[in-house]
Amino acid sequence: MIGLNHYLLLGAALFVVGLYGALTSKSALRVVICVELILNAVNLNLAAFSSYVAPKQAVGMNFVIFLMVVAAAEIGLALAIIISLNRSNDIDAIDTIRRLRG
Amino acid sequence: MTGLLAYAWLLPLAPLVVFAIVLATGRKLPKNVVAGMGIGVMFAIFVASMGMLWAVAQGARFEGSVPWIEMKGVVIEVGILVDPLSVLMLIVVSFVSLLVQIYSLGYMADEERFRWYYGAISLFTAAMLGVVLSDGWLLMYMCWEIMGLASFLLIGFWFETEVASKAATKAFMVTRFGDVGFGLALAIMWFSAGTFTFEAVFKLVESGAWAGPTLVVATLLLFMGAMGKSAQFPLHVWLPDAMAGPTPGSALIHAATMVAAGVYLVARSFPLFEANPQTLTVVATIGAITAVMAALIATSVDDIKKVLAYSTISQLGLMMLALGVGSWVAAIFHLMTHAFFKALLFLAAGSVIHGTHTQDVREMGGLWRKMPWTTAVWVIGALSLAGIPPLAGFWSKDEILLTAFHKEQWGFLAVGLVVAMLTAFYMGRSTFLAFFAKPGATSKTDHAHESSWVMLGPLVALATITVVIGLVNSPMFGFAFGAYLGEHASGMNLSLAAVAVGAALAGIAYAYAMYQRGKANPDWYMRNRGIAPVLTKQFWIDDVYQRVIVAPTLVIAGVFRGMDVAVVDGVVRGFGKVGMVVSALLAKFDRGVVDGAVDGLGNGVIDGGRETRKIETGNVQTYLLLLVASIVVLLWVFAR
Repeated sequence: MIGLNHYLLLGAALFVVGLYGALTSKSALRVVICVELILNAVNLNLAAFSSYVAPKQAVGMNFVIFLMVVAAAEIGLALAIIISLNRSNDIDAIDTIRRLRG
Repeated sequence: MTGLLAYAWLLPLAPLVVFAIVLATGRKLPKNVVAGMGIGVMFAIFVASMGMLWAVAQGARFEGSVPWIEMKGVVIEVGILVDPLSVLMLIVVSFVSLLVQIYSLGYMADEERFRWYYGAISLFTAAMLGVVLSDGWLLMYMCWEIMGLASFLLIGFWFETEVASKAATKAFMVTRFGDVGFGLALAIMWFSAGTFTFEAVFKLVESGAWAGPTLVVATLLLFMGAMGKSAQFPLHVWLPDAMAGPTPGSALIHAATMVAAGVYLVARSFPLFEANPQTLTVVATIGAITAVMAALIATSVDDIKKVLAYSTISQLGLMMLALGVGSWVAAIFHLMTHAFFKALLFLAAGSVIHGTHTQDVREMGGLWRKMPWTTAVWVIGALSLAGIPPLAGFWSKDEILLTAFHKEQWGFLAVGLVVAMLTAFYMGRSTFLAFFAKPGATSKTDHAHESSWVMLGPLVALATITVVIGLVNSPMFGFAFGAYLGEHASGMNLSLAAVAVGAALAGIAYAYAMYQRGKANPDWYMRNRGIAPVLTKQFWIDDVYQRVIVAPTLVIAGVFRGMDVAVVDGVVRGFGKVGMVVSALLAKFDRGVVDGAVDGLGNGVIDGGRETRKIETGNVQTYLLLLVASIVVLLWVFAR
């Protein structure tokens, strides 16, 4: 029987995988993909909690829909930045971009 | 005329006003106006004094005093006393001062500080008039000190020269030494008699209410004051040096009047001295020593002014001798005649100095051709000093000898005769050398010229006085002088007079033989007498003072200076050092702790900033890692 804990474990696994990828990847594109993994781990948690804790209200489902829209916008933006970086500097490695250095 | 006496207190004030005007106006007034004020005031005083003489001779007296200090029932009064003695002194002082001031018109004409000279002379005259008019010792003492100041100012008139400034200091210090005695005498008098006025103290002494040791000591101390002012041995050393002042000033102060103040003091206090025969003996002995010693020194001095200075000391000694053997009238008589003829001699010497620009008799000679008037008056003065009749000096000296004769003081009589002979000798010596002997190789008389009449006038006046003044106490005028002063004349002893004149003539003859007749090398005397070095060194008295008083004083002063440097300066420096150490510590504390805190804060912020910015690598993944790590930490801390 698949219960809430299974969903949560899957979410956590997705989150950890995403986090690892985001922290260790050199490619900016891969970082964006891993961030998507984290987002979807969160979505999964929200949907699981919603259906197990308060199935009648379906509040979590609304949040998931919103988050998907936000994630799409974010991906659009991130891809635009990555392509722009790639074009102007001909780079893809994220650790070479250090404009934010203090 | 009697009413005039009550206004005698104005006499000392008038010259004082002149002095004040000179002080206040400086160089604003023309020279002639200043001199005119001085001379005019002095002339008025002289006329007034003559008027007082007329009144006093008829028996008028005046004594008036005003309370000066009142405290707790004690009243100290000051006032004036006009009696024959004070009027006589008034006349002598004002007359000599008048002539000296007229003479100075010529002598001091080119001086830069001409006005100051007249101011100082006026100050002096005011003080001297105060001394002779005061009715008690206190006021007298005050005027006495002002006189000392005026003397200091005039000796140091040419203070640019070291000689003059040193002489002025010496004169002031030495006379001050005597004045300390005077001051102590006043203190004793106040505690013993309780008053300072002559009359009151005399009454106490006469009635025997004040007697014994305190009286003896008081008289001795009074005499000490007189010794200082009248240049008596051993306090005579200042007077020869005082010749560094302008000659007319010397004539007035250091020959005629101020130095006679000591004699006047003793004469005025005579009832006190009379009550103490032992003090009188001291007075006579000191006088005798002074007279002989100074006369001996005068025979070896070449400076024409210093001859007169030592002669003055000698004659003052003779006056003291007269006082000591008990005749204040003889002393005052000699004081008066001496004032006139010594002023005459000094002014004549001034005329010589003015004409030849030298003071050394060896550089003179044959002046009688070039300065006939000066020579004439000088000879009159010299003969008078030598005691040749009928000049003034003869009568007064004779009076002194006669007193000693009558009192059977044979030793003092002999001293008087010896001094008479020595006096004649040294006056003969300087007279022949300066005026009659052939000019020597070093002579500077080529350009000598007779002085102007403004200088010769007073000389002639004084010469005339010198010729006639002695007669006032001669048999021809019935010893009017003694009668005027209220003492019966002691008559005249022809044989004693003859001996005295003989001694004087012998002295002159010896001087003539030695200095006029060919052998006239003045150094002859110096080389050929065993006593010569003693005389040229003035009996080593100055050297003794130098060794015994001045040198030890300097040593003591040096010791105290050393103590000052070592101890006092040391303490002060020590305090300074401690202060510096403490402040250095405080500075360290300030810099280290206070500044350190402030700086440390700033530096800490800077360093912290520098260190923390290192984590801002610019790498997005680092940020993310830190973010996750922070969340993990927060969860671990709060969600446990």
